[in-house]
Amino acid sequence: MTKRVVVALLVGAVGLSLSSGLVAQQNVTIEIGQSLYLDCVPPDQPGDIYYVITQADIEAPQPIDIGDWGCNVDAVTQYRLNSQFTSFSAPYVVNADTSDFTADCVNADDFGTCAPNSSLTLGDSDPNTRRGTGFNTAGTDGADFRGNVYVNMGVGPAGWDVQSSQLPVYVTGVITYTVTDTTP
Amino acid sequence: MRHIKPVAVILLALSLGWVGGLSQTSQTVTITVNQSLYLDCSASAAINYTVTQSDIEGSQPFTIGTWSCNVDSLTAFTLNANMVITTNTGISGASVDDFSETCTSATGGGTPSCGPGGTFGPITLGSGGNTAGSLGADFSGDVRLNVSDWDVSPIPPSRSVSGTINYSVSDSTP
Repeated sequence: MTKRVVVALLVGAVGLSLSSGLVAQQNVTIEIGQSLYLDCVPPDQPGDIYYVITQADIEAPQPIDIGDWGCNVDAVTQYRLNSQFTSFSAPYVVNADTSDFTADCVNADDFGTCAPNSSLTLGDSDPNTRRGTGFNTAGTDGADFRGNVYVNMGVGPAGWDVQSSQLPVYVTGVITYTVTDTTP
Repeated sequence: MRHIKPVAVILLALSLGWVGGLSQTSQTVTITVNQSLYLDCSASAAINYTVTQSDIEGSQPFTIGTWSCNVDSLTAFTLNANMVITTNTGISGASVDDFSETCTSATGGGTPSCGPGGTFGPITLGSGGNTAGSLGADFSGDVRLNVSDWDVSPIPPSRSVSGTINYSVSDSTP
């Protein structure tokens, strides 16, 4: 009986030496307060569009290219990029509205993909207003999207009708770009 | 035969007398080593890091903090680390292999040297030998994070991932 006790004590001592608490811990917490960053227009892209309609524009096939757009997205999630008019004013141009304006996407990098849709119409919704989609961009300078903005002045009775007595007349609006998390 | 016996008795007496003339004592010395390695990573402060836009645009992985451990040793040893994720609120793809550590400094007693570090699971941060007579071997380095495979759920609320890095020292005597 005495021998058994001694053996048990030895085993206990060996067990303690093998797991002698030679460990330490360090707690790590990573917080993500914002997973998407949108920068329109990035430094290498044009800014606001100011376009003067010429006779050649009136004669040309519609729509006509009036400028470019460009956005950079930094993301740690999958996302979509949309744009559309959020305000519009054409007080002396009958029949002019945001549905006359369209946009395309011609290039996207760093895991971004252009969408084929073109609507910039105020009040319209995704996917019609979608310019592109993308994924996590960590380790890159972000996904660069770029494209063109077009206007179609129409033809016939439904086309633009400028009040000549008010010349020069202006059609102005604001295109707002948004990026949205599309994680299912 | 009668002549031999007295001679033998005399030799025996001389022998006993010689031994009995020595002054002998004894001292028993026992050294017990119950623990040959001591690890102190209390200088590795908890890391609370908020990922910024520049982190996302920067090279991966990026540094989120530092670690530091001191080892007192009476044996050859290796310093190891591993990590477990304890909570994850809405970050798909986040795992321990997104975290890594480097060893940038190994100083002090016991001829310490940095190990390769690397991405978690288990990694070796350093090694060394007996540090007796010194303040121990000091190891330190960076804790790093790679978020390139993360897919964060919509914000708000803010999303986070937490984990614990466990440091251990083990006897590497062959």
